[in-house]
Amino acid sequence: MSTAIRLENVRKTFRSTEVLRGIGFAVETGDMFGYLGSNGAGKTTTIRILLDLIRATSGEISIMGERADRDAIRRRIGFVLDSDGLYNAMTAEENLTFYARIYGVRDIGPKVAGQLEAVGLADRARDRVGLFSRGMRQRLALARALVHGPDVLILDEPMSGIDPSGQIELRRILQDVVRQDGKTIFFSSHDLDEVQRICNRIALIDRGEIRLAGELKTLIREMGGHEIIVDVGGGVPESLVNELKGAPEFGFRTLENGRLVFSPPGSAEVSDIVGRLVARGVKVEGARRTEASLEDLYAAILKEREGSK
Amino acid sequence: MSSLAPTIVAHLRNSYRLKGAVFVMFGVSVLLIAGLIALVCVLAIVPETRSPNPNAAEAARYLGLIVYGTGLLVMGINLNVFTANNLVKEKAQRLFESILAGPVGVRTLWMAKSLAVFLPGLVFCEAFAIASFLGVNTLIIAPRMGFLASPTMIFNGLALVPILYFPLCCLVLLVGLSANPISGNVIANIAFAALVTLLINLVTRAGLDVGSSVFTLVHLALAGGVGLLVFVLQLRLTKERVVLSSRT
Repeated sequence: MSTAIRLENVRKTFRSTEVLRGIGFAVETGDMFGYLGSNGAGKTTTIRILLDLIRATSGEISIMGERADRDAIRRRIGFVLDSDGLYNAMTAEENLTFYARIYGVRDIGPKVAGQLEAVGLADRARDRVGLFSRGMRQRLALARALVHGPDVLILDEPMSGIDPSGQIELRRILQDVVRQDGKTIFFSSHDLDEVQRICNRIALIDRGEIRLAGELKTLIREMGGHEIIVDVGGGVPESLVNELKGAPEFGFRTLENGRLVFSPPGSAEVSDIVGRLVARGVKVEGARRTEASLEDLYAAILKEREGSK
Repeated sequence: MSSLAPTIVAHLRNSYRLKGAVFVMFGVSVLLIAGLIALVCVLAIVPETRSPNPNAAEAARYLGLIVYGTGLLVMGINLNVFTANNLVKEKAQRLFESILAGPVGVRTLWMAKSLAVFLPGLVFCEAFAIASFLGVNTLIIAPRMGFLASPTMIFNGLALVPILYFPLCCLVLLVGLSANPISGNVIANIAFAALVTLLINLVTRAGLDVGSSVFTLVHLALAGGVGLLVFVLQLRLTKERVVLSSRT
């Protein structure tokens, strides 16, 4: 797998304020990469640097192996910024045609029609964009981002201000883009649920510093941990409780109202714990594994930051 | 620069489809031009044509003033109506970020925006100026003195305003793009006010002949000065300035 986006020790200073403090991470080709952070953390500044809208004070930025400030690389990137950048007085079709022309797209007509169809706006092609809802504008902005067939999509909070049905539709389109076309998607958000739902890798920026970066599942497993909850019928003998306490690989925590809770530090699975309980004659009524959420991870990092003050 | 033409077309569409703005531009232009023509005709041209010894040179001087003034009014109003208001909206909408994040360079965007304001202004300016030249000549001057026209009158009447307004247009858009768009409009307003004041002085005092070479040279020098200022300032035009000045 090759690297689609790489940032190394990137710094950005506006007057005396250091907005990015030596950030670095890599996005692999085909990733759906979530860039998380609260408002003012530095997400938009990072995206503007990736799109060469502003220059980094120092550091290296490469996209598809080329420096991000190269004109040629602009043609391989599609983007949706937090403002959609559409001309209100022009129709949906005219907006896409304009962007297709500046990207030097051939066979503009069919490609524009195809993108409008893909985002469900074919029947509104001749309507002025000024009349569109926020959700429709975001879908059109996404069509614009895809009209020239980019390899990398950079999206700045694409779901913000969109109603739930619009979000579902937009999420579906993005997932199709990754699955069917194999494109790389880098998208910023402060919606943790949304990122956990669709991203395979993440980076978390906080006050201009990357606090966390990597594969989402690995990060959650390594940092957030998980719980195994087993509901039992009848009692659990004291001797078994002591045995469980003496088995650190299970990470036994509590027994309350017929519910055993484990936080295994390693690779112990539900079947290992249930197997042990059944072998000791315990009647197991149900068992499940619960993963820590990205929110738990985020909260832990914020707590760590507060603690280090 | 291959993106220049589509960018001009997009901005033309985005600006001149605003019916209200186009209506204001044409409405105000027609009113002011009618006032100018009425003023110059009643005060100067008609008395000249009715005098026992009509002076064709004097009548031609006033006709040149009408043609020049017509172009000046149309161009000035066009620049005022279609620069700052649009820029304020487009910057609030952060439209330029999306264009600049693509393959359009910042100077291409600036030039496209300037031409998207200047070119329609040029067409309207020439159309109105030619119409006023032919109208006044045909209806008022020709019946008594014959059709009046001279190369300098036509050149100064039709070409000087666009020659001055192109660099001015570039300056207004340059300032508007890289700083607060209102600052750009202040320049357009000041320039318009200054040029209209010049026109009023010419009408009332008639100290300088619009068809004279001195008038031509003053305009060319002024256009050159503004052009030089634009050249110096455009060296500071960057994507970052445009993007950061668009912050809401």
